[in-house]
Amino acid sequence: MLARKNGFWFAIAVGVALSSPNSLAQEREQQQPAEQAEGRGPATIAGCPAAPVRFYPCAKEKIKAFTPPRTADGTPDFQGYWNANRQAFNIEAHQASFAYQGGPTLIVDPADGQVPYQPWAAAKQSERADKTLDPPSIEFLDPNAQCFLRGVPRQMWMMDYQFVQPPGSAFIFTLHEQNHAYRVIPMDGRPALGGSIRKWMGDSRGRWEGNTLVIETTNQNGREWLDNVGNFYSENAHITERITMVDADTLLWEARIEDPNVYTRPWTMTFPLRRNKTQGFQLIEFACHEGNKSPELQLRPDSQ
Amino acid sequence: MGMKRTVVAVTAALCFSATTAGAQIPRAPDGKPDLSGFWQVLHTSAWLDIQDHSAEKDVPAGQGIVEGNDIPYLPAALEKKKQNHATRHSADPALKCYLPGVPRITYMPFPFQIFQTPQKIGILYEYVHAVREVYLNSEHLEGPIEWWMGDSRGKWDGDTLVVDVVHFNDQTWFDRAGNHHSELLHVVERYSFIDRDHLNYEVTIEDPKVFSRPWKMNLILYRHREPRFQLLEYECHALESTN
Repeated sequence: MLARKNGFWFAIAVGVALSSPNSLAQEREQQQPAEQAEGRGPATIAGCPAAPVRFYPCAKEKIKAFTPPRTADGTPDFQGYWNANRQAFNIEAHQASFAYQGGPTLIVDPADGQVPYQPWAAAKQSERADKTLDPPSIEFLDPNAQCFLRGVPRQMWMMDYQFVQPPGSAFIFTLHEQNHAYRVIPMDGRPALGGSIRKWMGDSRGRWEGNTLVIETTNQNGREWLDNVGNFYSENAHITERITMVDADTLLWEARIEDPNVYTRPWTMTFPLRRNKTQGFQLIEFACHEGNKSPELQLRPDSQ
Repeated sequence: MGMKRTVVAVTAALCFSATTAGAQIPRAPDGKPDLSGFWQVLHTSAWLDIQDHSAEKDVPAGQGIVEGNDIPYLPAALEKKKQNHATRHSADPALKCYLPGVPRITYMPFPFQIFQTPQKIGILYEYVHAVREVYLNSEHLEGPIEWWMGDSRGKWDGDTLVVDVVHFNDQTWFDRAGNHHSELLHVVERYSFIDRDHLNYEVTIEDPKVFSRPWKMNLILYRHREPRFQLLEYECHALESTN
């Protein structure tokens, strides 16, 4: 009989979820710089403080003076591989614990760096945070540990992903290494999907506002978590991402989340993305569900 | 004189017709055929059986997609196929919602979207959000690698996209009927336009551990022309969970 320790099971779950059954994945893990493996980043990015909340106003100033490279179609060219270099176990500021690395808040508005939950929603999140390391039932198990798509915006700070802007295309694509997720963002002004169609990744529509890619996402299924401690939005969320190039190798990413049934006011989270300039870099297969043991390892035997 | 003129006119018409057919193929800015768009097979049930088969409950009958219909199994591999077939309603890996491999992903009854750049062609599948990146004029990664979807490298042969796929695992089947392969599977796909809304899709299968010789499958891919068509989600294993 194995001893059940919260952190032990969590470590197994993370190991299973992150590993691909091949030597390339292991090699890549070993090649990760120490800062990435330990969740630390550089002190500055693009000449701005790296902590998201301090990066934000500094990057906004730099954006005014920067002219981004352009595609043949004349839009800012975001193509290439990007990495937030960030685990974001908790989108709010948090101390390191046995299970989680510490980190600063990603929330730039409101100024206290906290999700402005309504009381019932704060209680729901708090219960998840308390129970998710030793979940008494599947509703307390992080959907990510079940290899479900992480949703928007949680997909946007996990591992490497690439922007693809094919010439003449009505779509912008993002391809993510984590769980081989992808996003297809129509740029042709078409109306949103009907409300009866729900998606883990929501339904996105994009447009350019000057040099900023603006993506509006709705039609979530309400099962997505924002992080490992169960921060959340509902199926009625309206998420507006704004992505802007700060310099040739840095993007400012921000998302405003509106959901009047869950929050007392809209709120905004942000972080920098850095270009992965590794020569010949390619995304490799991340088969997640195929080898996933998290649900059977993490759930109490009597809860299955 | 009148007769000769008629012959010339007919010849010219034939040439013109062939030329316009060529010109009607959509082309990317770099002059290559432009495969981008939404595609899907219309085969009744190739994902259930790639060979000729009569109808069963919940399975439409279908004319096979295997050239000549016979698959040249080696003796031991044929025994395994028979075993697989006997247990197919529980043993098909696709029933566990696993990535279905290549070429089965192509003839699953779900749409997929192709995007195209001069360096790379991407294929995004609605089914379990499978994705393939086909790097053009690029060498396979050094093995041994065992991936569910393999490693795809493409090149243009005239107006045909030829995709060479290796580095598979031995965990996927070609169909529900238990047709199988080993990790030595080598797939060559050829995508070519019939007209602007139809692609001919020819696949050559090679696997010296399982088959005595290479064999081929043929399908037609149909373009989705519904206005505002887009990929949705079929998150197979999430549909079984109540979370």
